[in-house]
Order: sequence, then structure tokens, then C-alpha cells
Amino acid sequence: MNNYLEIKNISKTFNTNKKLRVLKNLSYNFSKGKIYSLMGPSGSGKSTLLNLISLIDRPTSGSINFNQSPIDFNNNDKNDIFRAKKIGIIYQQNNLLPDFTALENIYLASLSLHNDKNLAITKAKHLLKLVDLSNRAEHYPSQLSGGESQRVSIARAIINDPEVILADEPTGSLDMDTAKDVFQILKNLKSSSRLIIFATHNRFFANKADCLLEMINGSVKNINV
Amino acid sequence: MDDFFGFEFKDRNLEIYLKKPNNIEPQKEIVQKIFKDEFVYSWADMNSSLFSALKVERNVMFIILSLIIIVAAFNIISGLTILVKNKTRDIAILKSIGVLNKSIVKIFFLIGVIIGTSATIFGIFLGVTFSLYVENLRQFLSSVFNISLFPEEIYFLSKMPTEINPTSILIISTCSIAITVIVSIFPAFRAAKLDPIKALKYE
Repeated sequence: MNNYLEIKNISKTFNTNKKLRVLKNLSYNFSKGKIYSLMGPSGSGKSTLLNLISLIDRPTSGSINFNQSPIDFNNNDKNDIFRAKKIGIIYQQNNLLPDFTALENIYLASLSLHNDKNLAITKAKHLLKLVDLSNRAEHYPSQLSGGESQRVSIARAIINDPEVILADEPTGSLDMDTAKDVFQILKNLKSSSRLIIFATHNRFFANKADCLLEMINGSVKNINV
Repeated sequence: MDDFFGFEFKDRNLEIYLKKPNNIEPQKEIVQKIFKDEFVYSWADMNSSLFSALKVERNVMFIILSLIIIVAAFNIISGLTILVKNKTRDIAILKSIGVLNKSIVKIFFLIGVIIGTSATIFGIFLGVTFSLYVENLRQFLSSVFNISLFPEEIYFLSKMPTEINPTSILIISTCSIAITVIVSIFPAFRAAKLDPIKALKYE
């Protein structure tokens, strides 16, 4: 589907000691069935853009449309449900809950949405098999390696079968071999009904995307399609 | 009888003993209705200074215990607030995976209620046990520290009196749980209001 995600004149300003304008009238249309990589130096606004798309943060001005429906950033409850159903997020620091096992970390996202524990556990076990971590189901994040934690994080992000997957430097804290494994899992998630956007500093992974976007001074520049 | 003892009519006294002397006031009123022109007074009136002192003591104890409950309630608030602070990153992660604010409120509210309810149950158990064995405890402490606790010559009682009143237990435990429920609301809503962006960036 073309233009599934439309970003229109988005600006984001942080009011710290002095006003910091991170995104400047940024506009771009993302289509389903493609993987987009976001490149750019630190502070160029990659994470800010992903936070806006994931509806965790709100823009200073501009609008975001999903499937031609505008997002109301004042309606937190509706946005939370939308995020739970449609968006999966993967962070650089896997951000797993330390008091829960790998299996529990994965099924929590489904449990909160469907309120069906058995369904959530079944789906989580299937996903653990998909990321080749069935034998680590009962292990806590502190007992997992960086690559394993990141694979659990990916499994958690896709448990609700999201239409959009956002990954903020998913391979940033991994060695090259592990990073390649994790990236391959991410790449395998590509489908015609899904949009994947990942931010990276690594040109090698960025080049493997269908579209490489470069962020410079709060704007986005399309390098190739 | 009056002639034998040399009493006149005005010197006459009548003493009435009740099987249940605790509920004296209504009985006194009944007697007063029968002997309208007589002066009727009960054992409570005869020891009024002692009973008013006990009443004051009871009121002071009520105020002290109320203050303890208020302090305990603030302990729950501060405990939950610290828990929310410590779990800021976890709350942000939950929000980022789409967990609704009302679910986060529910989590922290339930923690407060569970703490309050279990503490109330434990308190009832401890209180009832203390009441049942208070005399044994008094004797034990008296012998260990060689002091006279609850001396008979002051209190006119050979052993420490206790009364387990189920109605009082029910009222107190209901109030305790209600206070816990009320004080758990504030930290729970505070948890739900956390900004996930700030929490994920700075935690």
C-alpha cells in the first residue's frame, strides 16, 4: 500500500536551556512492503522521528497520518491502543523488563491487548522458536547475551503482528556477527502488509534496506529507492 | 426495721444489684421512674472521677492510634512513590509496548491494596493474639524486668482485662483497608502520568 504512513511538515522543538529544534518541517511518505533505513549523525533526529511515529512523543507542529487517518496526539488512550495493535518497537538497549523471563517479556504485549494469557503464551512460544530461543524461555534478561536479548526484543515487538516495526539502532550495541543475525531476523519480517523503519549508524545495514533515508539538520533526504 | 436501727424515713437507702452491671444507665432510669422523689445513683456515678479519667485515657489512645494509622498511610504513599520512581524505566517500557494507562494504574493500585490488606490481616492476627495472652505477657515482662506492670493496688484488678470485640475489629479493619485504598490512588495515577520518552532517555 502506497503512502501508508504520511508525515506532513513535522517539527519538533525541545525546550531545554535554549530551544532546540530537532525536526524542521519534515515531510515524507512511507509505504507498506518496504524496509526503510534512517541514517544520520547523533542528534540529527532519527530517534525523535521514530518516537513521533510510534506516538510515544508528540510533534510541536505538523501531522501524522496512518492509512489516511490523522493521529490525534491529545487522545492518549486511543494512541496507546493503536500502538499496541499496529506498532512494534525495538530499541538499541533491548529494554526488556528485568523482573520477567524472556517468555513473559514477550507475552506481556499480547496479554495487555487481548487479555488472554493462554493465547499470549502460545504466541510467545511460537515466536521464541522463530528467533531460535526456545531453550531460553525461562531465562531472565540478565541471563541472556546482548544478541539473545535483542532477539527477545524483536519477538516482543512482533507478537501483536504489527503493521509497522520501528527499530532504533537495533544492532548498535552488538558485535558484527550477532548484528548480522539480528538484522537477518528483522529482514525476514518484511511482508507486503508491513512497513519496517530502522535507524542505524552502520552503512552496511543501511544499504540493505529498500530505501535509505539520510537525516540532515532535521530534514530527511532520500538517497535511493 | 427503721425502729430497730433507729433510722428515720429520710435516712432510708435501697441498694439494687444487677446481674449485668455493665449496662447501668437504662436500669438507673427505670429505677428513677419508680422512685421519682428519691436520689438514684449508680456505681458509675460513685466512681465518676475514675471513669472520667479512663474516658480521657481512651480518647487519648484513640487520637494516638489515629495518628499511627495516618503515619502508616503516609508510609504506604512514600513506599509506593519510591516503587514508582524505581520502576520508571519499566513503566516506560510497558507504555512503549502499548500497555494502557488504566492498566498501569491498576498495577500500582493493586500493590497498595495488597500491602494494606495483608498488613491489616496481620495486624488483626497480632492484636487478637496479644489480647488473648496479654496477662501471660504482663507476668513474663514483670518477672524479666523485675517491675510491677499494671499494679493491683492502683487499678483494683488482679489481672489485665482484655476484651475482643468483633464489631470493633470489623470497623477498624474496614477503615484501615479503606484508607489504604484511598492512599494508593495518588501514586498509581502518578505512575500512569510518567512520560515514557523522559524515562527511557534518562533512566
